[in-house]
Amino acid sequence: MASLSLQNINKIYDNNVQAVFDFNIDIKDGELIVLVGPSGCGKSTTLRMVAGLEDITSGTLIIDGKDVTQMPPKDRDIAMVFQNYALYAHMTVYENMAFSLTLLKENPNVIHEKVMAAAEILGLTDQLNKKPKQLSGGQRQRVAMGRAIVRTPKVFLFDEPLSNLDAKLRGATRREILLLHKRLGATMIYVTHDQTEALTLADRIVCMSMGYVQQIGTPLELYDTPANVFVASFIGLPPMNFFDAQVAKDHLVLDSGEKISLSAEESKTLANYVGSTITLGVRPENIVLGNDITMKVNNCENLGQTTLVHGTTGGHKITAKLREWCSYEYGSNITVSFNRKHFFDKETTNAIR
Amino acid sequence: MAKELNLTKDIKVVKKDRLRFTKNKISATLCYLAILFNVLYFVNIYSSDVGNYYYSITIGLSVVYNLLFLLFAFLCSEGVKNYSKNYSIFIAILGALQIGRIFYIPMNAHSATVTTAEAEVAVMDDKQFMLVIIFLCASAACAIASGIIGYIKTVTLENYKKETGLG
Repeated sequence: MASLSLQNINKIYDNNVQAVFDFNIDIKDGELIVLVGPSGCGKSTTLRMVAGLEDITSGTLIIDGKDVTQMPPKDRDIAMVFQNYALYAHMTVYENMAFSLTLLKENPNVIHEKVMAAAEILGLTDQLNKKPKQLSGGQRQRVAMGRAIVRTPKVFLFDEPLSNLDAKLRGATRREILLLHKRLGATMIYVTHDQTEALTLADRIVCMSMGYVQQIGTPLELYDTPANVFVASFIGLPPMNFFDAQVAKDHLVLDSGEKISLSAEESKTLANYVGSTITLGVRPENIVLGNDITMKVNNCENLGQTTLVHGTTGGHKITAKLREWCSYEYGSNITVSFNRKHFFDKETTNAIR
Repeated sequence: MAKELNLTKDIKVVKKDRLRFTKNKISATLCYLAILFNVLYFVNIYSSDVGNYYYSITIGLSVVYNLLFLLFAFLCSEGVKNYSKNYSIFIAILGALQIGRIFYIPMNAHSATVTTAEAEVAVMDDKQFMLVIIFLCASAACAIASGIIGYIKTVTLENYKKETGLG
């Protein structure tokens, strides 16, 4: 187990494309950090720089108090789990899991005990004599994890390990990774573009876009107090609804002319913006049936406990997640209220607090 | 790592349990060595005048036996690798036959002479005789050792599986 510190990390490729800009984070012992963001945001590049698979153009990487920026990957004591498993097809599960320790010329009896212990943790005891092609995707990914576990590395790196799995298996394997983290108490960095994975797994999330860190915080912080429009739109499912709104003293005026009243606290927050336009963000789950604005229904998706109502208001698309089973006809009007609002500066897109 | 993987201390049990997931590489390697020494014998024996001395069906049988030995020894190497009792016994028998072969062609050829250009010369001189004996003995030793180790490991594994009820 180890602590990590990434200080002013930059990555510029040979073709002068900069993939990561000034990445800073201190990761505590035993913490599970999730790097989340859309494709091409630099999260995998960052992970690969930690692993030593990519050179760090500038900045410092410290593992357990030791500067490892220039250290080759094999000496960093890091294990990485890849999206495509990277298992040896001609070896059995047991041999795959034991391989790294065999290369280290570890005592075979010790290797055996470590492999058996890891297999038990991952529920692979019955599969040890099978070849990877005889396993399901989830089992293969567990083998890949087992191969990492047996090495007892300082840091585990996961590069979108669940992307190749179907939805059901993804959920199950996600829970297994979480249990594994609790059981091993290991420091882990996990890369994903799936915000559900990020929210359910992370101790802290690093949300990235275009190579920049947008926000670092706990899942609740990112969900509840997003730093900017990007984080607000990326975290949460269905995504947050956004509207341009003119700020008045005690209310907002939407494009459609409809007024939304503000609480005393909200008015105080927007005191400096009176007379200007801001971006109003409302999560679908914060929309309730009420009497503030009229929404024209396009369609309803009943999900059992909740209903997603898609529609428009003043030409803007809006999605509401209502906590009841509803069925509104196409074109019908309903009136809704916002019971929680997020405000963003229209120019900078940063949250107004 | 904070919570280390739980490791037992009973090495004997670990060694037995390991057999369930690892191949018997020692026996297999010994089989390959038996094949290698047999090839060296095979190549070496025909550099003498046995071709002239034994220019009969014996040479043909010798060649056929060598080929069969190579075939079955290779087959056995795969068998013992996967803990087969029968293949362990079979490779040990092949090893014993290698010793028997010493008393056939090499022994006879060593004490025989042929007339070449009106001069009597030994079919197999002492140096070559020693060399082929060494190759055959080495081949036999490897094959027998492979068989014994394979048999012991196979029995150990079978007993362990019976004791623990593991498949």
